[in-house]
Amino acid sequence: MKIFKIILLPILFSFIALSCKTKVPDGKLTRTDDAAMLFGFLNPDVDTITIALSLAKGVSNKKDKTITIADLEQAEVKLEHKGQSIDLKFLETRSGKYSNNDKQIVIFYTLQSKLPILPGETYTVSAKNNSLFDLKATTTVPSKDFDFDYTISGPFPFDHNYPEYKVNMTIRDPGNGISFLRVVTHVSIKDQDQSYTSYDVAKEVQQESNGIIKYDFSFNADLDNEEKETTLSCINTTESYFRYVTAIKKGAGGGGDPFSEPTSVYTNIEGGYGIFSAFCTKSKKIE
Amino acid sequence: MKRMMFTLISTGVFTTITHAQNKLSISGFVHEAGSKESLPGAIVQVKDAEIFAATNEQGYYSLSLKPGTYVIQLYYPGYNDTSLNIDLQENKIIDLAIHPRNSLEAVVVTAKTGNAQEVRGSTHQLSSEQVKNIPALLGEKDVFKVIKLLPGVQKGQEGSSGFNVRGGNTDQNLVILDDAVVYNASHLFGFISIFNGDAIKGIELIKGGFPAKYGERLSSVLNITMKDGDKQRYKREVGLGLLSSRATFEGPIVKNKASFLVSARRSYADVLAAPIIKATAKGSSLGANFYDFNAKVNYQIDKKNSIYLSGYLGKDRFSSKSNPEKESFSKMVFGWGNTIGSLRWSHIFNPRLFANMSVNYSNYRMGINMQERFQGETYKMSLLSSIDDIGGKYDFSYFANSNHTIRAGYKITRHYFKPSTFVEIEKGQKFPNPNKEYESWEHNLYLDDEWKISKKLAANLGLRGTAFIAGSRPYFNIEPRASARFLIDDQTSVKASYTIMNQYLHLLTSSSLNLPSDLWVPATDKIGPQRAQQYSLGFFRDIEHPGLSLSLEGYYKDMSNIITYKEGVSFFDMEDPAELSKNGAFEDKVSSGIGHSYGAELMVQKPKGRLNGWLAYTLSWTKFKFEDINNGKFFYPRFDRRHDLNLVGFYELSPRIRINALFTIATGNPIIITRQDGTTVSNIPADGNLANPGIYLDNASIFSGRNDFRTELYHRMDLGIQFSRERKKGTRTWEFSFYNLYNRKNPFFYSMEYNNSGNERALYKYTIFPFIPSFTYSFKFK
Repeated sequence: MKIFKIILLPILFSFIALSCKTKVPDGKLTRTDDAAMLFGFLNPDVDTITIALSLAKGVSNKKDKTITIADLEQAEVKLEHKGQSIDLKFLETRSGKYSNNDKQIVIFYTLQSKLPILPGETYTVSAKNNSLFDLKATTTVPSKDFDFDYTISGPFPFDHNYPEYKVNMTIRDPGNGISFLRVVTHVSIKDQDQSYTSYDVAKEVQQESNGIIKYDFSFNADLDNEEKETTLSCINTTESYFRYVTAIKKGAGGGGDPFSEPTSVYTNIEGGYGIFSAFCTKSKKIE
Repeated sequence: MKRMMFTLISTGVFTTITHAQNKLSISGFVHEAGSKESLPGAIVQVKDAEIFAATNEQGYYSLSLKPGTYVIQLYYPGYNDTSLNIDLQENKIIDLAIHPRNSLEAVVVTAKTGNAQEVRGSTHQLSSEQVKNIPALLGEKDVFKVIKLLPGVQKGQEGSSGFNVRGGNTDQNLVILDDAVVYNASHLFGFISIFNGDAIKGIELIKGGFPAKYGERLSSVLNITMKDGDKQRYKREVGLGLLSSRATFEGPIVKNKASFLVSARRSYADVLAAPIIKATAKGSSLGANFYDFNAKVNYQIDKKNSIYLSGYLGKDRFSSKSNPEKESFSKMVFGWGNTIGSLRWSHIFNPRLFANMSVNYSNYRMGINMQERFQGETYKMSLLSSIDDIGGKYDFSYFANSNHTIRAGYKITRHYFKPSTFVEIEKGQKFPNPNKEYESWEHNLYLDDEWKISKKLAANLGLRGTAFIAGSRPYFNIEPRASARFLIDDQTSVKASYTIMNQYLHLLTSSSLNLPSDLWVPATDKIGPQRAQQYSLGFFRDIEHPGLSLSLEGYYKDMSNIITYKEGVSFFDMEDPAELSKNGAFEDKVSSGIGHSYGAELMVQKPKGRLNGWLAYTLSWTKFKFEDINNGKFFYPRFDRRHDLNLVGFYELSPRIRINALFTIATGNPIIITRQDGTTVSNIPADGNLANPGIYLDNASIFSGRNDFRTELYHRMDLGIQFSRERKKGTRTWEFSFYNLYNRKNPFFYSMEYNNSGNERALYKYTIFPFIPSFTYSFKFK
């Protein structure tokens, strides 16, 4: 048996030693170009139209195309509706809240007075920088013909900084214009800058039935604090937005679980990635 | 179509009964001379007549002939041709014995495809000797590795033991061991299969044109029969390899009446690796091992009754443990295994009517136990998944006359599933999940007629009715089966087939890993059964000189209701009790879809001579589509390969030295890899204004479309040399195997990684099987 082991061990060693990782030589698999991403959510009730661009950096160092933030800033961004086209202006480049500095978006804007956003109408956005990127997307603004009521109960003790409240929403949709909706509770602090606003609950749900939609959810908030104002919003949105958010929630980007299935980032942007959608929002202050 | 099938079968049965009345029968068993091992698939032919029969799975044959004198010829691959004069004036029962050849021709290729006379195409038969002669990784002879060298069988991932047939998933293969279903046929994470070559008698793979006798899966039937055991004398065989060792013992219990066989294997990679790990891992440990045990007993009660009892027990265990003296400590045990049993009673009612009744049991279990200690807190998790089958079946074969063999049968199975039982203990609190268990009943009823319509035209027509009852929604289906063969001349034929198959079980498989963590689940109210229809057309020619057999087959297969995990789902969070709010039943985690597969298969065999072997080439396309995957677009599954070529050769250098070689080359696998790191926005304000400073910027890994990229070409050459010598007490064989002879670095997986200095991110390929020399020693006692 000892001799047997003496013979076997070097073979086992050689097996381990020869098993290896090798760098894949240059080829189609190894080249990962940079791409541009576009985000936009049109809303008839907001004075300003904003479109954001960001980078999707190719993960390898081998690239045929490299795009920088400066390239995004120099993009030509247009919004079109029924033959009318307006240019959006560069506003700023900035990091997101709690984001690392290497995560940046480039924001373009225009005023709605120049191109009104109307429910039921279709709009096309484009963002182009010579041969580096050429993005295009279309969305149709959903109906505003809906309203909602709610009842709230609580507070309930919860293992959290703030107690829990339960909300029962009844959404009336007489025109059957809602296929995809979003519910947001929005807490802001009085007399302070809007940048302190946070979105504690954001749930996207699909329509449950025609006409009346019932939606129940809970959120955590400090409603007794008079310094804070809480708003409940119901948003009629597009299927594209719903699919984008669903993909992000499912872990596009990898949630760290090596056993999870790979998730495609949903996009409706031709020539790149991202989401171009529209919101129609109804909001009520929570008393 | 159904009406046409019914009419054809009815006509066949009627004419059968009329013809049968004027003839006498000759029937019996064909067995190996000496051991009395029954031989399924042996050909019993009447000389100078177009009358022949193949023995059934128990080696039984029956011929209907007019009174007269005949010469009966007997053929079985690897055995000496035998003939016998018969004067038939009354019904006769004659058991036929055939001697194995001693030369290399005893191990020739016995694939049936290419045999122009056979009624059905798309079928291959392999002998256990053939499996033993193909050079293998670390000398571990493996049925699945040989099957992957046949046309129409895709390789899958390097090192994996599962196989894919004509675009079907691995769960679409019905693997049967002595009538009992095997749910997971892999050892060591799929590197080798559970079938011990020493205990196996025969292997049959059916890829299309399924006779009505078989169902339950969409893509293939792999029927493996265990040896019965020598009825005349005791035999022992031992084998020592680098990865495992094995021992087999067989012999008579009552001479010529009853016999037994026991065979066992045990791996010892963990034992050998232990000192290395101990020296390098600083208190940590790691190990993997398996064992399996086969046993069979048979007893021929009288001329008309025999009983068989066979069983298999096997288990794999993988464990890892970090240093327990450190503050943070973790250990994990991952185990899986099968327990399979079958009890069969064969009864001959009369020379023309043969029946088999069997009771089968099959259990597959997979369990993961993990424990982690961190900052004084202990966290435990255990996951168990199992499937448990118990069933019975009754099959009849009615050898009506030389033109008709009618088979009918009924099978009932109770399936009991526990797809995922999850228990979590966190900070001393236990979270057992309200695990969902599924009990279902599956019924199968079939009628099949193998009909020689004329000298040139033969057909195999059948109907299979299936029912599956689980939950509140029963499923009923009718499956027509039709195969036809037209002889152009004695050595050339064209064959066609059409089949519909239903499958009431699904296997949930991770697309990124190849582990036994795959979960078996039933069709339910929400998830329907898988269904496929397949068409095939083939040209077959036997060329007498230089002894070649050629087949060219094309197929088209449509599949529906195939399932896969939805994007983002992990098998670990299938029913995580700590996340009950977001978890539901498995049906909510999967997506149903469709698939198409089509292709052409060429096989050229040289079954005899000092140099023999085969060439197999497959050209195929397989595409799947799921609404929730890849944005609803078609994609290639991981096992899809456009071209796949295998060349297998055996050469007898001298009576004591044999050289066996294989070369395989195939298009790379389609894979999904990360292409970009994107910056996405979330926490989007209610009004959609992106200038709001409250938005978050997140990272999103952007993958290629599902399996949009192909890995590089796969190819390797294996070589084996066997040195055999007769010794006083038996035959000893040394075999030296050289896996991946020219050290081709075939990809196992790819990963985008930074280099050691962290300044460059590039694509790296991992190879697990480089050039691997190995040897095995075996001794077969006299």
